Amino acid sequence: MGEFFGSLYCSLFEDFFGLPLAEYLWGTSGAAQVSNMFIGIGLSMIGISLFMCVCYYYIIDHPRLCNWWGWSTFVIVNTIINFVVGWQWVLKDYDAKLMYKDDPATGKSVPLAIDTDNILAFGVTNAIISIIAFIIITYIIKWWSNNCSSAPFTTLK
Amino acid sequence: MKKKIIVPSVLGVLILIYILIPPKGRIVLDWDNSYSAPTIPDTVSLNVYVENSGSMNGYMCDGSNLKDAVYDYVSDLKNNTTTCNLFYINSQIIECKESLDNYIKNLTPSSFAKAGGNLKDTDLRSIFKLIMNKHDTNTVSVFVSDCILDIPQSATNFFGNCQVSVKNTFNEAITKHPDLGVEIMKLQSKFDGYWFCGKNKQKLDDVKRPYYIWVIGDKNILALLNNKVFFTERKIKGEVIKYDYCAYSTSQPIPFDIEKKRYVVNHSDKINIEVLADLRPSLQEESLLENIYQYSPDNPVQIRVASVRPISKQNSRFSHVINLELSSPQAMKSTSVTLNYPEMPQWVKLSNDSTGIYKNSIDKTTGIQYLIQGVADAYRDHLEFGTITFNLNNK
Amino acid sequence: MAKLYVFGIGGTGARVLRSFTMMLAAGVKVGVDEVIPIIIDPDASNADLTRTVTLMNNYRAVRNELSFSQGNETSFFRTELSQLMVNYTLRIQDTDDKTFQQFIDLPSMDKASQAMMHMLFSEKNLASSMEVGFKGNPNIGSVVLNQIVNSNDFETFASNFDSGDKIFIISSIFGGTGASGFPLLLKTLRTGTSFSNNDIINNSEIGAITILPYFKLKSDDDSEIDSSTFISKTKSALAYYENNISRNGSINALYYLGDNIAGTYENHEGGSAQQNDAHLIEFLAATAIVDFSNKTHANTSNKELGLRELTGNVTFDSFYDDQKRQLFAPLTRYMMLTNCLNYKYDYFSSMSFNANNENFNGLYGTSFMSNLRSMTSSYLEWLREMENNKRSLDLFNLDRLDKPFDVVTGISPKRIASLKSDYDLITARLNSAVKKCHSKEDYNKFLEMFYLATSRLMSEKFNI
Repeated sequence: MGEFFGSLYCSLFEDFFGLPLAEYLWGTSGAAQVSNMFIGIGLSMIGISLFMCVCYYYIIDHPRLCNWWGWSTFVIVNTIINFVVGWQWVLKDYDAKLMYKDDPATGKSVPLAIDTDNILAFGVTNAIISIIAFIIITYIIKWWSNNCSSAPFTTLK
Repeated sequence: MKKKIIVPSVLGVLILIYILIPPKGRIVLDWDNSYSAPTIPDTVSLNVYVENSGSMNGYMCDGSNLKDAVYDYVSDLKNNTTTCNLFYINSQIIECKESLDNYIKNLTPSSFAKAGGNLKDTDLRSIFKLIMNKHDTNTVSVFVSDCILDIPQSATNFFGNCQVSVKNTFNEAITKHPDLGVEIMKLQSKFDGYWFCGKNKQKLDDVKRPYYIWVIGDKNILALLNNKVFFTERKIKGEVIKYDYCAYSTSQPIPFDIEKKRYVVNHSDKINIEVLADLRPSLQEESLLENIYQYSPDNPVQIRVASVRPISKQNSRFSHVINLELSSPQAMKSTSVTLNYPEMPQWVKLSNDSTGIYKNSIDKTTGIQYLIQGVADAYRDHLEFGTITFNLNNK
Repeated sequence: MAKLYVFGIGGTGARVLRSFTMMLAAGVKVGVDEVIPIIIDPDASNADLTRTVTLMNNYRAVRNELSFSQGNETSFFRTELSQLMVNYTLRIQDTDDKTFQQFIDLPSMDKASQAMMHMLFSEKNLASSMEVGFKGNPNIGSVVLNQIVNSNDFETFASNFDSGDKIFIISSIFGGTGASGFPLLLKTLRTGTSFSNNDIINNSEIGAITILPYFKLKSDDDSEIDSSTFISKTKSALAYYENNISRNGSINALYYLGDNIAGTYENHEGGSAQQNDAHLIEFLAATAIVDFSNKTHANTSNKELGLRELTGNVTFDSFYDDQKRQLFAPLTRYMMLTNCLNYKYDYFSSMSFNANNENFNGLYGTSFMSNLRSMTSSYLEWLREMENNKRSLDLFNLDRLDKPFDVVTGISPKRIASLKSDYDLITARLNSAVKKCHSKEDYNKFLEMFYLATSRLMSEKFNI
């Protein structure tokens, strides 16, 4: 599962948020944390997207939202939430000074080459991937909705 | 067919395929950890030999750098060894039962004369033999000399002969002490007195002449002593001692460790591995150990030694961090990097004089090249310090 | 499958049949699967009649496209309405272009008979044309309508009659056609032998409603009809009924209906101008048919209708619980359907309505849909007429456009916990109902969807 999530984020976006941050999130940068953070972030991204999608299609399921802009509103909200989650999740580690590794030569803690711009970029990455996730989840679950099963493409038949 | 069946099923299948496809680019390292560094014996005895031949008198003047340097160095060595035995040496070994302070104070021509032995003809061949005969596994022998080979009248192959003799001496020594290491340092001292070489002699006043300190012992003991009693940045009278250095040591597997064993290959297709290694038993200078060209990877196309840095962390088991850059590591099964011993350094040849005439020899040493070459010949089976090998597994 | 033959006599009969058809469309429960209306009215151009005939044709056009499969509980248009004769009308021959005296062939009577005729009938009577009925003269009617029993149409009815079928007769006691036709028809049914199945028919269950005066006409010297004579005619007719109908057991159930308050209509003798607005009394008369069909009457019962409250307008609360239960749910469900098809048709026929994404492709352009919409518009019109009439029947708020649950007069809907409200809630209920339909074809499914959704809403909002 770690491979799945890791490659999900890294295959397209590695350069965007930087290889040092990618290494850190894989848990292989030699820093204090060794778990694959992609799993947690990926699961939360899917979980949030799934929840938002289910909300739109089954919990709220409002006839007035059954159109492309009702659906898009949910996409946008989902994107924003996932941006904040992705950004803050990693920023927490940054602020907690976890993004350091021990230099084997000196034995001292040296900071990894990750700065706040990289972390912001990762937030954006999470947001973009959440859009794709939302679309895929939409096309899996929308068919059985009572009032909104035609969204987002309501005018096509 | 209903859209509501097709689309979710297709998407589900695609996702399943994506999840189950074997992932790319995870490498896990492993290696054989069976080598463990030998333990340092509890007792280390220090044998200090100062050549007390006539040619050495000139160094025993006022303001002699030699006396200062030897005093300073031996004092520190003494602090880190169990016993310290002081000797004069020429054709025989003469024990000196004084304290170190007196020993140094008594490094005078008169004391030399009083000590005895053949002060005229110094045969370095036999000196090395004597030293190595007295040398034990936990002995550190320190030999201070001007290392001038007295060229006899019929000297067709004298230097060659000396070279072979030294080689033989050390060959035997290595056989007896398989971890033997030899460090040779060339220093400068104020010289006031007669320069001798064979039948030639010359009075020199207030010149700077070279002399040599040889440190011979188990390479692990020497490595430890180097760590504690380092010669670099040693100051005498506020001035850093300048010296030339070369060393010979045996081959062994290099003790090493790699902390980070798991790597993800990103799209740059390279990984950087930091190898912690203990290179001290090689007895080589820092500048050599940090020279990336001194290392040869078994696959230079895919493996590059990016840097070698010393470890400044206290009490580390290792001395250096070797940073290796591997390209396309998924295609590799195992990796080796070898640290090679250097060729004879330039300064040896430059310090050498083969004529025996003082004009050519004021700042040189007659025959030093052949002596050191003899040592090098004894170590010709040990052209490299060792190899670091580890395996890469695709996961 | 028992049938109910409903004879509607005269203008009143036609108007009551109109109300009854509305109730059938709404899905009021009747005890039979098939209703066969038969109208008896010489005034073929009577606008009330033509309106009723059109409505019943419309009903049948919708009903013929429907089939109720196993599990389909839809009550809208459930009952079959069959047509036995042209325009559902039992033809009365020979009234078109004759005067009464021509009809009875007065000139060829002997002098004594002629004198008798002159005694029984006024000159005006004898000279009146019968094209538009008997203009409030039952004496003429009772002569002319004798021919019924010999007509081909009557034979058609008789040969169709099965054991177990019921008959109901609607007539007004103060009119011309109704007052004379009812006793005549009843006598024929009970004692006649010249038609098929006469033994079955003679012994069948027969009910009738006789409607007492409930409106006035404006006085008009040119018209032969004078509504001030209504009461006196009623009295004499009632006396006749007592002896010849109730006492001799020829009827199983006789319903009486009337009202004090009377609205005043325009005084038209008949023809296409006699189109009276629908009235509460006709509505109540239709409920009598419902009542009759749901019960069995062994011996003669005489029935009157009591309302719980009779102060101002009649609302659902004015009815006693049994009757209210009979009417409230079906009429309100049908009202919701009407509101959707009238005020929100653009939405429901568009792709924005989610049920249309998997169903009802092409439905909205069919004649079925236009027939259905025309039925629901007629329903609205009918309700409006009754609301505006005196005494007013104010069942629904006919103008509420955006709050569909405030539709019932005097009854406020319950609040339910939902994110959706008003038409969004209806849409949501329809969308979930369409998935639970048993029907496969679009026509059936459309109505079943509405039935299931409105039933659920009735229980959620009105606790029914």
